[in-house]
Amino acid sequence: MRLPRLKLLEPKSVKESCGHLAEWKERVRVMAGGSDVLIALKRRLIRPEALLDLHRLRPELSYITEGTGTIRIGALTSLSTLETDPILRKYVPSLSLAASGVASPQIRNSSTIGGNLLLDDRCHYYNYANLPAIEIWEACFKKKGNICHVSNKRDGICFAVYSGDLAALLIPLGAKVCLISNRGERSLPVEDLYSGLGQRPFVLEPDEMLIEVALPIPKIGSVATYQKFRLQDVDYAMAGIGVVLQGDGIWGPSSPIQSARIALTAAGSAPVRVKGAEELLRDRVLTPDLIEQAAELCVKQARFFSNVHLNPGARRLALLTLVRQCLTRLMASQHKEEMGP
Amino acid sequence: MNKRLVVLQINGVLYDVAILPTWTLLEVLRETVGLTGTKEGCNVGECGACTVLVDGRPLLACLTLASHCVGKEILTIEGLAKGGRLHPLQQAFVDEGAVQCGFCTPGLIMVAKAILDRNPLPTEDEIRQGIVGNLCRCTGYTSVVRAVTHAAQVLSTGPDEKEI
Repeated sequence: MRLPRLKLLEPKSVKESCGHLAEWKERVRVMAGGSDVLIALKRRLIRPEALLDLHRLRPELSYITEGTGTIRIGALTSLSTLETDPILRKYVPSLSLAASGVASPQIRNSSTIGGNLLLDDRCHYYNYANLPAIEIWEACFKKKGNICHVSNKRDGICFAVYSGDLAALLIPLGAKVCLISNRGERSLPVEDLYSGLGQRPFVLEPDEMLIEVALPIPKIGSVATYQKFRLQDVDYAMAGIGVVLQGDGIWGPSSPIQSARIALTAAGSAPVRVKGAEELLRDRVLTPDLIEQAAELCVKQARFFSNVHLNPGARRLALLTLVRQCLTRLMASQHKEEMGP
Repeated sequence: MNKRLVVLQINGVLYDVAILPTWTLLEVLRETVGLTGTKEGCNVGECGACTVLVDGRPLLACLTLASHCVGKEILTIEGLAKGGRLHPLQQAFVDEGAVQCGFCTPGLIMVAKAILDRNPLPTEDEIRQGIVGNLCRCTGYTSVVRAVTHAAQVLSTGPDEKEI
């Protein structure tokens, strides 16, 4: 399995990158760390005419800074940097812990926060379509064909799964992304980055790139965590949940929840905000019964199909267990204490 | 597509190589430079057999473009033994029975070196967390963990750090 011979564009600045994107648009694929795109290229799942290799932008777009109540993270900051960064460890340790659980140390060294947010949706029928180096079944919607092998329908609906880890925590943390193109910059809540379409998961225009993630420093009295279930430690999440609970003052076991924000990953073609569970928990004190109700609501909103490594029934059970564990441990948490993945 | 002439520093040696920009570090190590100690297991970043150290950090050579490694220090399994003597990690792997078929071994040893460089006396849990990216179908990892623990002890009481 070799990489195809394709044109490699290696811009030295964001400005130059935007220039390339304006010129090449859909014909180019952006590569950050490469741990997603290079595999898709090797398997011939994607066939762009060119690769926009951002490695020369690493110095410019690798940073974590804190100021005026906001933490700013450059899109090319590696996950291993997120793992150990003192600013994150001080203000948002849940994000460091979430990053520390992604894949393997080797992959965390090259992969980036931007790449993790923009992790392509996955489905067995898509990702393994070319494994014997021939097309073994008809091209699906995600491969620009006309069928979905999960539903066996030709209605244009793709069930590929979004399983990026960090989005499920960044959404409850209220993070925003900065997108840039020759036409200017725009800022979006992370939640709005996702289209919900398996075959085209992101709302980025063809000439746009993601350059920064910004999040407000969590207030006193908030606790946050990201938990996921996967088969082997190195696997993609089969179910994942990010929770941020805001209490009033110092967080304790009987703190009423001022606000709850909950997002799931590996539960659909985009991260899923579970607003029903958020509403349920507002102005309430966590009890085992309430936790159970919240877990049921999360599972109701999740969409599991037979297109990834673990079957839907097991993923449902995994998610139920994750929510229970998550909220039970947050219930017992001291001020700002986080738990690891 | 034209090849580029680049200089790669591998195991302390400078190599002038003509490479395509789309060649991975794994391909260049094995096929251009001839250092076949680094193994191709899956080629898609799932098995860790191709782990090498670049500027001291473990990376997957199959998912790293060789042209990105210009100006960096690449360390492969071939670079560990010195003057005909095995590195303590290599010796420990042999002594503890952590080498069966041996295919995962170079990748595991490189990642173990990275673990010990940062954390000279890791706990079993820290070792196991550090090797999650390396698959071994033979040993069940127990002997691997023992080997890394043993090597850690040897390295921490080495000639430079011997406590009197």
